Amino acid sequence: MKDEQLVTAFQHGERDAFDKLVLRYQDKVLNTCFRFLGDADEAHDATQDIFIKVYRALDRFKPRAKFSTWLYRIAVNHSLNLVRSKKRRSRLRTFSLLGAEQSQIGLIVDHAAHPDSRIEKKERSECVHRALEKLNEEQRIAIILHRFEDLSYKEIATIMNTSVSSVESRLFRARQKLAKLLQFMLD
Amino acid sequence: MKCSVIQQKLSACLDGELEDSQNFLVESHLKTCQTCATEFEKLKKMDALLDDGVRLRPHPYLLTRVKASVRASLEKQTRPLWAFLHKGLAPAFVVAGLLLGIVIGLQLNDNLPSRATTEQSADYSIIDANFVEPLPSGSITATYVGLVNSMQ
Ligand SMILES: [Zn+2]
Repeated sequence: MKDEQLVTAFQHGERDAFDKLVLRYQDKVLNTCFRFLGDADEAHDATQDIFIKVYRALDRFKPRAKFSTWLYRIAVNHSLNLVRSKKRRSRLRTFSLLGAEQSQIGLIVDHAAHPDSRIEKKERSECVHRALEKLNEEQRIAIILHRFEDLSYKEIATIMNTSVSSVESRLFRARQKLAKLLQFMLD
Repeated sequence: MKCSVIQQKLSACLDGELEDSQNFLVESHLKTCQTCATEFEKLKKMDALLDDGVRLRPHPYLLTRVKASVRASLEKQTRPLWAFLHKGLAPAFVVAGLLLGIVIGLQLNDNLPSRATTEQSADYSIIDANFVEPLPSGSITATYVGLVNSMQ
């Protein structure tokens, strides 16, 4: 059954249709949140909160919009709000941590510990996340939805309420910046 | 075409998002220009770095938890909290509660940093008019939202 059919069924009182939507999209929502938050526990909690929001708003969802677009928008918005409040909280704490940001992306990679210059998978993932954090929000959304969720420029444009050409330029700039930030991993 | 123009297109070219004619232009330029070809290779390598292979698996009880939470909040909504109050007192409590809420809301509004001061102003509102029906006019929620908006 298509998403839109499930939404209509839900709106006509078939509450079980919601279960199918959750099972269909839980992986996508979870991993989108994870890319923004960089923490598995926080991503699981966020996913739960997002589906609660979806359940509450689903009765008023207009079937002429694509369900997945709407869902991604909620996931992005919710994650960004969490990131923003995390940032606000950590800004208060940073006074005692001035100077902690020693490398360009705030992560010190001990190359001596990796003589073959191969960085452990977890460390690499951490580096990628720190680099993503350095992008502005618009570039970050575009690159996360494109590179990790495999969405097309057109889908991203709808989610971000912008044009395909601005998605193109956001991705271009995001990659330029990432190339600089991750340069040390390429050498 | 100038190299700078080509290089701006490399990201979309890598994603297969260029139109055929543009794709042809970029690809034929790459065959003849070493500088742009090197840039393209660099871009591909960087892009591959993003594939860290990390993908989380959803929590097996996610759906159960979501539904339990929804059910709990629905029960809370339908439980008549004021049922034990004397009928005549109930409206007074409602009015007092509303006034208290407004006062607290105004205080919070004054104390919180304004949204406009955050560095980035991207706002992808959840209850977006493009996606959901507007609140029914005259409903309690619509009245409340109107009241809050008029105060800002
Ligand atoms: Zn060139």
